Amino acid sequence: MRGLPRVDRGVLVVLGLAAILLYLTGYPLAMLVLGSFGVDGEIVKGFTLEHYAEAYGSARTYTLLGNSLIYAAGTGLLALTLGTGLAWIVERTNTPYRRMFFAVSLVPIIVPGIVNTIAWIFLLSGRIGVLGKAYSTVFGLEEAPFTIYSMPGMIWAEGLHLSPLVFLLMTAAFKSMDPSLEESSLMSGNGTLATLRRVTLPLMVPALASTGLIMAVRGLESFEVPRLIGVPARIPVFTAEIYRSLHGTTADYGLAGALSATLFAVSLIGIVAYQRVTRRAERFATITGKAFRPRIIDIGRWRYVTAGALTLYALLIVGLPFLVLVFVSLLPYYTPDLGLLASASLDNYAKTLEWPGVQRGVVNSMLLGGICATLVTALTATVAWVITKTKIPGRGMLDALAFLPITVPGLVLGVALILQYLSPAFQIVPIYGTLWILVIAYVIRYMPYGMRANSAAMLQLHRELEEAGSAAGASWWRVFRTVTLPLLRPSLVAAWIYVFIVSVRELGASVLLTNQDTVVLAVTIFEQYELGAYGRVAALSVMLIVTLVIVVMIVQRVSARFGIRE
Amino acid sequence: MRTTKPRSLAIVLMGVAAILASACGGAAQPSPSATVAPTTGATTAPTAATKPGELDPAIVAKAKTEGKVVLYTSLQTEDATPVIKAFEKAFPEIKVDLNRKSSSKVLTQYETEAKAGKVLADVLETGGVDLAGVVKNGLTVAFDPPAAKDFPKEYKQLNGHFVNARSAVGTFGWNTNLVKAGQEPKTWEDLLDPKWKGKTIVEASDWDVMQALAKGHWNGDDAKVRDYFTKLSANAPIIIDGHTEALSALIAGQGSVGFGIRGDTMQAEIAEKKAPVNWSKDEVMLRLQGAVISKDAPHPNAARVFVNWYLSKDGGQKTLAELKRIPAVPGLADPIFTFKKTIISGPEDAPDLTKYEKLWNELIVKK
Repeated sequence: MRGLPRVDRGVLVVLGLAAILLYLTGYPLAMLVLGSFGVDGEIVKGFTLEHYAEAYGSARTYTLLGNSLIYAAGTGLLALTLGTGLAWIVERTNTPYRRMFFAVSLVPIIVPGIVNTIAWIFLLSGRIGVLGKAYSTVFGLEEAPFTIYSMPGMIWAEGLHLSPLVFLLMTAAFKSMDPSLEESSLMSGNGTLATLRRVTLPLMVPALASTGLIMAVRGLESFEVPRLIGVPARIPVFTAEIYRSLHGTTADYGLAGALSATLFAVSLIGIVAYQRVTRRAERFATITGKAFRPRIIDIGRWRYVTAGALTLYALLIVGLPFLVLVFVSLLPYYTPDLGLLASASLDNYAKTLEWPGVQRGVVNSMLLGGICATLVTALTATVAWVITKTKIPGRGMLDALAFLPITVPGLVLGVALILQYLSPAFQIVPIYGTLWILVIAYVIRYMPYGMRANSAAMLQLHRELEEAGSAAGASWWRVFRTVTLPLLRPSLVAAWIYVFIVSVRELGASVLLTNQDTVVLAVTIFEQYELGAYGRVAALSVMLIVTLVIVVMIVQRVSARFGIRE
Repeated sequence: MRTTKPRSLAIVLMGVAAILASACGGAAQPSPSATVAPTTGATTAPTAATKPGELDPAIVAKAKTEGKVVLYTSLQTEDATPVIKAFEKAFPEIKVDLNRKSSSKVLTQYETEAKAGKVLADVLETGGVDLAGVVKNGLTVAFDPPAAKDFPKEYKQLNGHFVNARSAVGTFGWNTNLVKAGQEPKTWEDLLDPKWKGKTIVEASDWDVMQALAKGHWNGDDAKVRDYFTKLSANAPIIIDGHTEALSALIAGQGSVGFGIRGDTMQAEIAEKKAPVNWSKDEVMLRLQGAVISKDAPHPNAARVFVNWYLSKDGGQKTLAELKRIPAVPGLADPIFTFKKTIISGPEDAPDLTKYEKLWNELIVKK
């Protein structure tokens, strides 16, 4: 074995990883792509370009694309600004009380997208929002002049929902940064802002680019906000078309595939651009051979400003929707009439544990979330390492294979997996109807997020550390285990947490693949939602938020004892 | 002798190959049939010993041996659970394996499983219009349930493949806080009144209501259909995606009136939560919902026992009435569900639906 040249072994590794990725993502991707060229969405029935003609031959598609670009750019910018700003304040400054905000910052992504959107509608709608009603009552108007049913409203709801993702990824990136670079800048006479602009941000380019890429695709594929806010606002977006094509009188997989080709193209371009931007890896290495303790920067009087910003964020962006959810949870139905509180009751809470499927759903979701997060982190860390740390030919393709599943709509993924695992060839893998098919679905869906998180993280690690390890005689595996992994811990943990949270929320594929025994929480919540039981859904959301905040705060306390001290 | 070994091995291999080939061949996709032919068979011929409404005891006996029926339905879990309980009480030897999902999802799952070559469901129960597709594609068998013998003939459609078991209501409604008594719309045309401008909620995919009205209100005069919906669209309706969302919006007061409201759902909100809304019971659309039996069902006799029980006056129909649904058997539903005029919408209306979907998108959604 020692005699084999390194390149050959490397190619085998790439091929092995490619095989795993293809096994997972090949069928759904093929179904989407081939289906787009098939009569009735099936290539076996014949080849046709009619779906592409229908998708791209009408002017309306381009209007939708235009709307979507504005929407995606807006939400991306809002999420990036908010998330990065918060991450910087929490991780790199001496702002008082900043530690508490880690848990608070995660709140907007715990609840399902629908709940988040409805909470903002019940706040900012000119007619039925609590704030809207308050404004119109105070000023004697029939309805408030502002409304959430607008492009800014859509950007606000979605951008806030996505900002915790940015926050998580950027805190990991900031934690792994040697502060001596910034300190040299400050000591040379640059102010805080100049340091931020000239030193910090340029070093964060991989993390920002990674996150930006996810934001772009998420913005393009986002669907709850366009449905609940965009439709009444008469702002149709591109992804609404994909949704409609799957939910019309008959499901049109061919059209959905043709429309998804745009998302495909955007993702591919994004990956190529990302790989270009991060090509000179050494420029971004912030974890070097010099020992460092991530020290915070003293920003002087600015820390009161930043503390104020954190408070504002907690109160307005997290607190207000939370309060609306509490309000809705205490009532049988929603109207913006605070007087209804007189008949408030805890009925919605009392029955929560008795909902069909809720107890089993919680258990299944926690289990699935944990397994999926672990598998995704392990797989994508490995793939990211191969891509960024080796020169094996063909590795760029792995990035594409692992990222493209982000373009497959959840419903299409569900259908593809049913077809794949019920087909005669796959009868030896009898996972249909069990939790394992959900594991596979979630891994496929969330691999792209793991990829972006881990590839940015890998770039921060300077080669010299691993080279030192192998120069001292350690095998590849020993270096990986004792040098690479510990240094990457903040990023791996961040990626794990994020994948855990979003897989507990997965709905699109879950609705098809679950049954009474394998029911998951998101499906249970959605079922109650479809019944119109907003009060119950709000009650459960409140309970989820409170639980998460408490759990995260405890975990923070505990891990602070084992982590790097300041 | 060493030469016998390869020979017996070859025979074994051929046998294995034959088994594999038949397994693969058996999983071939069912071919869609252009017409739906009723199937007859020994299992549906009643013997002289059965009481009216009851199945041939031979079928019931076979069903008990099968021991299980797999039910895919879009009934809300809170309704499905009591229905199953009541059935298992009547037939303790037959357990129901429930798969409950919303209509479009349960259909997608059912169709995809059949496409993959695996029929896992015995019975599929959902909206009639939605079932037209699976029947047309040859995934079901005809069944003449004795319990439904005296049902109105429009409740039995698609050559015996579908029988209505419960109905849902499509109508219009209003918010009682915002609309004073006496001011509420009385007819569908009243919704076009300028006083509802910018205050009418319309659900984004209600082209089936358009189709029902085209059939029963305008007797197929598409010019009148176009005229009405052009005027409705000019009244600046609030388009909401999703019936749950549309009803909540009406209750919250985002609009004062609602087009295409689901009357039975709204009635539950009024009765259980005292929601400040009400609905018109004068001229309504009745959406038929029912059960179909899969071709190649894993438990065909249990499937028939279930469907027959579901349609019987003292069985499923009674349970549905207790759940405040509208069962097909006349006289069982809550008296509040008494309508002056009904327009039936069932699977046989499905072929027209695409035409109205296009018109709806053109006039209302502006696609």
